[in-house]
Amino acid sequence: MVSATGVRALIDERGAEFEGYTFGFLDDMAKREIRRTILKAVAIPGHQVPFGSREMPIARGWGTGGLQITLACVGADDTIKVIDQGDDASVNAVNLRRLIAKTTGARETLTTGEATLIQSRHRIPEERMTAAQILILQVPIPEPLRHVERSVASARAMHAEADYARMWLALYEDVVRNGEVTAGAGYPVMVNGRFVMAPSPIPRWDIPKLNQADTLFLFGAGREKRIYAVPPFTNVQPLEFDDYPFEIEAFPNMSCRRCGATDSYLVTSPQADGGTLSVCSDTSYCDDVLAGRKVENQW
Amino acid sequence: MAIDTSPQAPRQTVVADQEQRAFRALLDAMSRPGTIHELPEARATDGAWGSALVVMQCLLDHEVTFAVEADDRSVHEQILRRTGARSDVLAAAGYVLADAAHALEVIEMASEGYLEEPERSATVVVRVDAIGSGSLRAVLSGPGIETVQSLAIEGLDASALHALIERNALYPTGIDIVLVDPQGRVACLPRSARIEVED
Repeated sequence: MVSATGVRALIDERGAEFEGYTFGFLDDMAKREIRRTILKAVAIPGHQVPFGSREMPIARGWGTGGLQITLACVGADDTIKVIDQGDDASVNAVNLRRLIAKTTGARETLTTGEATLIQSRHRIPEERMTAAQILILQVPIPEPLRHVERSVASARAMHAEADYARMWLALYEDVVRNGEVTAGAGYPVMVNGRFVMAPSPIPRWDIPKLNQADTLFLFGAGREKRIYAVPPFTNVQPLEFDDYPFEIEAFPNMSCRRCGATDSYLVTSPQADGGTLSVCSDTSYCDDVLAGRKVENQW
Repeated sequence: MAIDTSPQAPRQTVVADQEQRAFRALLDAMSRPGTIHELPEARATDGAWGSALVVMQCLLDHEVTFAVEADDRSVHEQILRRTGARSDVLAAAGYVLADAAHALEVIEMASEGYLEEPERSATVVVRVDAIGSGSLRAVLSGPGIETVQSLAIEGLDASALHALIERNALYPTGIDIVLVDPQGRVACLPRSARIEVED
């Protein structure tokens, strides 16, 4: 039993940690600029809109783009979830989630279905997201043409003219050399029939989830200072050839060692005995299956 | 699994809280064109411009420019005072506020951006009499819409929507429309929306 004065003292003591911080860490003008950028990005699906990426209390390249979008969106009545390669419990995910919650008072959750805002690195949850949710993806390299065109100005001109010939050529050369398009994480996609977009390094498994989804997807690249978006119910098609169609990863005769799921994206690690261990990448989904909870929504 | 959050988080100021809720309404409206959302309550003294000012305050500060095209220009002074945004001519302004009577002129004149930087275009906020009822009907399809989305608008002339279709024909350049009514409702017509007009 804690006395009322004890609780008060605790609040006062711990509240001092956050004294002087604004709600959501970012100042109001930073939020306003990010909000303007997000609205433009939503109006032009797949187009990268520059923004004035702020200094954050984490290093650039560790999710600052996603974090700034989250902090510009979040209100005190939101419930937030942060995942890092499907995992809520990685150090980076925990730190980001705590920062967001402690500077806003938003509730935290580890469960996909409970969240209103989900910030994610490299995965889209296995459970189908709803219209009431927003997925915010952290992006290391927002420019899908980076590998075929080093100049930012030239790449921008190629986007302006919808000239993706060199992208197609690179994919073709890949097929010639390797017999398939080898791109794994971050497979390039065409958004709304107009812009080629880097979907962030999500596995191929997650690419079909972007197409005609119920959910709004926001992409933030803090180091590269770009924000872009895929609205719900938008056509998102992986770049593919008629005779070399896009395929997602297959896990033949494999299941999650922890929960037994055969319908989720698995991560495999080698073991000391020479064997391998495969488990669900999405820990929320794995927990649900393990607990015998039926995940109602499927992509 | 819900996690208990300690109760010492910084509070949102009243103004910042209103801006955040206005933004989320705008984000919902922009990502689902033609759907109607509620803005946070406007100041009673702002009268018919209340909802428009909620939107302008949410988006504008000293970094951007704006123009007002309306018979009643008192709102121009209010935007200057509350946001610190700079006033500019219609063709160059980043954000334009118009009443329904000036919507056609604004849609024809506002900046559409450039092919390399389509985001450098105007966002046009139009105050109409009512959203969700009225004789003018826009039937929308495209990103954000599963099949088709119908939006009724009161007080806007069909010519404004026809002009918008023409302006946004060369996508991705174009202008994005935010419709507000005095009852605090908001709906968006982003340039990505395909519009058919029924009147």
